[in-house]
Amino acid sequence: MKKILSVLLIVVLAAGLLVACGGSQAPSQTQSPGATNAPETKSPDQGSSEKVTLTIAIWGDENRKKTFEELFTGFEQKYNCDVVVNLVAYQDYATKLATQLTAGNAPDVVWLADGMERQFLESGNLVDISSYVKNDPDYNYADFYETAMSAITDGDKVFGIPFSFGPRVVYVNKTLFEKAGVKLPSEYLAEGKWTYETMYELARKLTDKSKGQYGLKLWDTSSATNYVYAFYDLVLAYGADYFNKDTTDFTLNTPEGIKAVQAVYDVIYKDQSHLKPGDATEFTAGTIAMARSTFSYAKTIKGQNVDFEWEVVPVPTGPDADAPVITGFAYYSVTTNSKNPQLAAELVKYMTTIDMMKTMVNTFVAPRASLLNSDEFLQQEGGKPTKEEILRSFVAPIEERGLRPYPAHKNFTKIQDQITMDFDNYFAGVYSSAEEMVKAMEQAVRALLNQ
Amino acid sequence: MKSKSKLFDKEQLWGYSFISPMLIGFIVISLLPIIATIVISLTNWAMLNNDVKFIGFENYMKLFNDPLFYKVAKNTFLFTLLLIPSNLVLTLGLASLLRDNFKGVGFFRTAVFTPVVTTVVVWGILWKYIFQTDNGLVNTLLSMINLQGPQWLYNANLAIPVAVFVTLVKGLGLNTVIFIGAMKDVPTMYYEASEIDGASKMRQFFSITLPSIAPSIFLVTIITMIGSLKVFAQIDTLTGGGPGTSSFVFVYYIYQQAFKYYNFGYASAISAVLFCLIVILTIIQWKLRKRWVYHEN
Repeated sequence: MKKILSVLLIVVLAAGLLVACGGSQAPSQTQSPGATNAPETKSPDQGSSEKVTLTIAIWGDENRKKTFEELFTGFEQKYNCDVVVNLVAYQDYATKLATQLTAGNAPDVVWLADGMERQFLESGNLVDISSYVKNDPDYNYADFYETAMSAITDGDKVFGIPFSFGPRVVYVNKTLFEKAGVKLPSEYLAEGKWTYETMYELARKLTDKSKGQYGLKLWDTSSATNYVYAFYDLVLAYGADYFNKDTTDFTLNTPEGIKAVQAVYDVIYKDQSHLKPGDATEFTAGTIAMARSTFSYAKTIKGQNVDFEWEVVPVPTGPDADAPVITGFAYYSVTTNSKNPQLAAELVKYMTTIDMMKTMVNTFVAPRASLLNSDEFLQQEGGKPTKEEILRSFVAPIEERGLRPYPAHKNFTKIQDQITMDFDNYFAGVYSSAEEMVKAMEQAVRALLNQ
Repeated sequence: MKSKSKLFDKEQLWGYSFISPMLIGFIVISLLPIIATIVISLTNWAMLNNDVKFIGFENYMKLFNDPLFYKVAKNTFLFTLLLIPSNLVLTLGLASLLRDNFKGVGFFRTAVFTPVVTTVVVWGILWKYIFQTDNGLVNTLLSMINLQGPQWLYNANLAIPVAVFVTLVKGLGLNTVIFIGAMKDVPTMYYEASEIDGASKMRQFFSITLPSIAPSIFLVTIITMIGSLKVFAQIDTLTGGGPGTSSFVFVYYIYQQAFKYYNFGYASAISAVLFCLIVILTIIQWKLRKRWVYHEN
């Protein structure tokens, strides 16, 4: 009896351990960076007749998930497959994807943005889909802005297709301007005087602390912000840059760079006409005269049925009036974990044709040249922003000054964190001047660039 | 004489089989991850990097030369040192007030306990709004009496104290309930006898209540200490470790290294050090308990 019981106990313990450990014994990710080959070019519907299921991970909300599920029905019918949409919170997206890739169970198709694309490309986790997108004249691969492709290509290999990009524009509460009897930014723009100096001047005029009213919101002050992206266009407008051309050196420590940084500090703490870091007030509340945000923010304003008149103008120019429009891109990519990379590549292609991108234009503006001048893009839902607003604030700056992607570096996540921490410390009063902050930032970022 | 193995004694075996679910849970959920963490801390494993090498104590050497590690340790101990005494004083005070059954005591007990059942992230976000610089509740109230409030969450000297305050208010209820329970167990005859001797309420508290509930105070001190050394969600939602690195604490630093930079080897080394610290501090308290826990069964 003793024996039986002891054996039984050992079996129970062992079984428990095996069951619990089973989940972690997923196939390990053994593919080397060089192994990111193109999927075999056999037709997706060749082979077994078994219905295939593709998974795609997106960020956003339930409404977006529903929209995509509806969009995929055409693809599901065409290829006799199922497409499952996984919704992942944006802040957890990169971590979750990295974990899934390590465990070997990442979705077939993923969205990548904000530097994730380089990280996953360089670690050999993305599939080359060039043969699917380059050889089809109807797809018109050349229509994508070259700058939009630079971060997701490696020579002739294409590891993803951009579906969205977000140059910033300025949203103006016309009602507040009219009540204050102040000339609108669009009027300054028409006169060729829409500069950062003008914007700061207007912000001072429109600030009324007794009403909790602020003149300006340059970035989303509500939460921890990536200050590299938040200030990049502003820094370029002042004739400065965070990095040199090859992203091998930190170059903000110049009189122009310090002036750009000082100007941001002054508008917050000297003029007190800008929301302070941590303030969650939204432009839609009606108490902010001008807010700089991405073009897609227009959808949020429309969705909230605001009780004030608003308009869109481009971000102002600075001392360097020819500074390019800088932006990040979001991409569709196929992961090396996909068991059906051919079909996954077809899905990416399906979602990024010019017709599909026109359908999606009220949600995502894709960096296709032909899209920006299409009626679908220029005639937004509800007529807002107007065609004139879109042309002057979005299309014209890109066409006149060109598009530039955010820089890439293997340590970019750490570099962004360092720059953000230094700005945070500057706003918290740890540094006594812009010069001191930029100097400390230079030392720390150079160390990370050379790591 | 036939020796009898204790391990395979029939009754012992039944005992083992009854505790086996808990034992399996402990092994799978706690012991194996602890061993895995120690093993990973000796490697250069970074997620997405398949070239994993055994690097000995390199991560630990790096750790002890990392100035941020010392800042993180300082911030975590500051958090712990501020939280434990304030928590003990407040919860003992509240328990003394809410111990007796007076009219409406249920309402007050519920009010004190409600934050405990609130999700920590929701709690953190709520207080983030309350401590907002310009339109936050605290600074709006201060402005009513012509005082300009500071940037509570964007001030290097205030970030940790504010996080302590938010954690303190959230956790008051649980410790208060533990103390109320302990105080109700103190025999009333002690109080009656001391009253005859002319002891004041204050004297009764220090000479009867406190010594009698010493085991509970000991328990609360240990769980508060462990909880504060492991603080994360409040810091993440309130300050995100900022401004700069002024509110970086151990677990936040581990999170950053592991899930943002994917340096699992280095993050595991920090985790192993934190684990040792908690074990050492708990052992010290355990050893010292005989000196200050008078009343223990």
